[in-house]
Amino acid sequence: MTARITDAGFTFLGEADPALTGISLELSGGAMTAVLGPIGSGTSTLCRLLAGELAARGTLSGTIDCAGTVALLGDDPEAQLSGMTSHVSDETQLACRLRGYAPADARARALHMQRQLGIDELWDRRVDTLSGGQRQLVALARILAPGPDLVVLDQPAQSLDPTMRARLSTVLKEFCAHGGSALITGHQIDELTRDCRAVHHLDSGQLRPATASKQSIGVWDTRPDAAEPGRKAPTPRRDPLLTVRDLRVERGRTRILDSVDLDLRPGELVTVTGANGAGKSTLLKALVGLLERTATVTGTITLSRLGEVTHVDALPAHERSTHLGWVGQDPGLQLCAATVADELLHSAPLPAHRRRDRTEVRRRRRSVVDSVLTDVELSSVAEEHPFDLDVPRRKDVVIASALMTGAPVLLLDEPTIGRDLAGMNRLNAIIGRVLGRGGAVVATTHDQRWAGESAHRNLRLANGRAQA
Amino acid sequence: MSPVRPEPATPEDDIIRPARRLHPATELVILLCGLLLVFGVPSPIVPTLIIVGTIGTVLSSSKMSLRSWSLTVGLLCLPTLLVLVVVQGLFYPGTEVHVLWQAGPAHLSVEGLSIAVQIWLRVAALIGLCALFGLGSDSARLFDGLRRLRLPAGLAYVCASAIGLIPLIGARTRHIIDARKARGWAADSWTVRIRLLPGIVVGLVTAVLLTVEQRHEVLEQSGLDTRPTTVALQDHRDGPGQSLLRILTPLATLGLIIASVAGLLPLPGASQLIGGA
Repeated sequence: MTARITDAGFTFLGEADPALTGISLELSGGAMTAVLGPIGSGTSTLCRLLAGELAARGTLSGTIDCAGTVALLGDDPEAQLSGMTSHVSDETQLACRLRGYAPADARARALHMQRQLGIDELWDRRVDTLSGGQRQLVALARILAPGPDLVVLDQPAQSLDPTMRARLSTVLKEFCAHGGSALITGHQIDELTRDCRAVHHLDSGQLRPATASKQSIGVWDTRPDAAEPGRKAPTPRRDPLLTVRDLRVERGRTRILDSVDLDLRPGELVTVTGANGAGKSTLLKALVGLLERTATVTGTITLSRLGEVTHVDALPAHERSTHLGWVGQDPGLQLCAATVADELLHSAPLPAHRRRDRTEVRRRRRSVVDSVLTDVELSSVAEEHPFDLDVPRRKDVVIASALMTGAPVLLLDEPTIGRDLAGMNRLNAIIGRVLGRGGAVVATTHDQRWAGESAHRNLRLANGRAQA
Repeated sequence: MSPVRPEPATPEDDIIRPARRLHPATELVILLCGLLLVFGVPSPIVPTLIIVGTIGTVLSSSKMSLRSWSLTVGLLCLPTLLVLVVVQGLFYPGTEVHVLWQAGPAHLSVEGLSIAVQIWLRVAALIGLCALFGLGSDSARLFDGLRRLRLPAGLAYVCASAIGLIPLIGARTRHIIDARKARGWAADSWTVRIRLLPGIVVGLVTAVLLTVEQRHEVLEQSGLDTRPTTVALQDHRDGPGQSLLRILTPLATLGLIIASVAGLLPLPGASQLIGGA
């Protein structure tokens, strides 16, 4: 036995209602266990409780017995790395060295874990150049390298491509075969949870029998084989809204994108898939003109609207915003106002106006903000701080700020990360409204099922090239 | 129990060697001694030599970008120079002064100018040296250096986290500015950036505080505080030569300062160099 939770409950300081009640769970050595539930059900609280992070933050009832060391991977994709190191090799050795392993042993363990996870080529890379998925893998290598007895992984697969998920599953199985124990929590059923010996469902802080249907417990099934046939909509047959030709991006001597072509029609959702680090985020940033100055971008990007053709590639980034609404992968990096409503109010500059018309212009802006908040189902949290929201809701705030510009094309970078069933339904509704108005959406994703069911077309990026 | 069983190191693993660079503890000692010299010896020759040495180190370093070092130093030093020239150079309050140029109440004097130059060179040397160390190190490197100098782990962690804030704030600012560009703000223009500044700063402070807390949690989970840190977080070159350097450099610095105070170091002052007095 590695950990036993008996009739445990937890109430955060200042809260009247418990976050968890009556939890009894045994995590035995040699087994992978999954606990799934919608956002707010208490999955992350359970993880942090097991890792001993909540001792000073509330009241615990019941007992938690852990034999051995516990390692935790948190759920926030923006908070996976320590911030102490600049290079991947230092980051993956960090936990070993902090626990007193000799440098040679720490290096061997980190290198071994990177090889197992298939990221040994990242050894010398700077951590600030990693993609979201690569960051997640590096964090996994760091926590697994010292060989803890129990690993607690909160949404470990959220930024990983299907191949990497399968690979992580193999690594965890091997870890368990050597006597370790793994607890995986999340809001999605995926390749990792499929391989768990036991799957429990958490609902409003209480464990439920695993017999309940996925719909009833509010989790989303990401596996491609769970796709419902015949849901895919036909591709609209209209002239392209956005045309991309021969797009190439180079960083130094490395070619990230090579001759990428894309036609995006009004009412069309195109998903972009590919392995972690394939260049999906780079593609979207190249379209909107946000790549760093050292990157070389060539090719043409044109937007045709109401018979008018705009050469977007000739415009600076801020002028592209009227045509392309970009939503980056990490929402926390794009938000800075104190409330959701303020974020939208000040996200885009006011249109040119005379001083005497300012009151009227501001009134109109507030009216647009209210309308967008309703569209994105954020009205109820309009006065909350964006950082108090969960990650998918934060992403919705950034999507809402992109809608404020009225751009006909939306570029969404990993919009499905961390979403439960309700979050997926919300995302589909937002995209549906954009497409219904004659707009178009390009979304990068690792969610094969969502891409298969919702997108009109999928582009797969491999070796810098796009394959339809 | 240790479920992870690493493979034996392969020959290619042996290639991984610490960079040809001084131990961070040695760098810290040199940095502190350099600053002591700058402020302890009242001659512009010392800060000038240190600035020249710093530029030489930046030029020869593969870890440091000359552009980012120059931008950092320029951004902090040029406004200081402007303020000093106006306040000390043009409005020096002394009565017995050698006036070089006069226009109304403003007068450029040898004495005022020498004080402005002396202060500015010291500030520039201070900023240049700190930027050299700060931009060429990460938190783990500083942590190792401070631990080698026998600072308590808690204090070393606080200092190391503080240096980690520099790239964090820089990266966060770039991300927020990019996000604003993507919404139509012409943020390449400094006037627009200044307009956006109040809104950005508030969000930036919140985000940085959150990130610091999250990073601490990640480090706690990685083993910080579980046992006294005995192993360096990174590989560094060290040896008896560097240990000796760490002892001799402060001694030499103190010797130079004492010699200067005692008048045994015949270095010219700023007023002598400017006015020939």
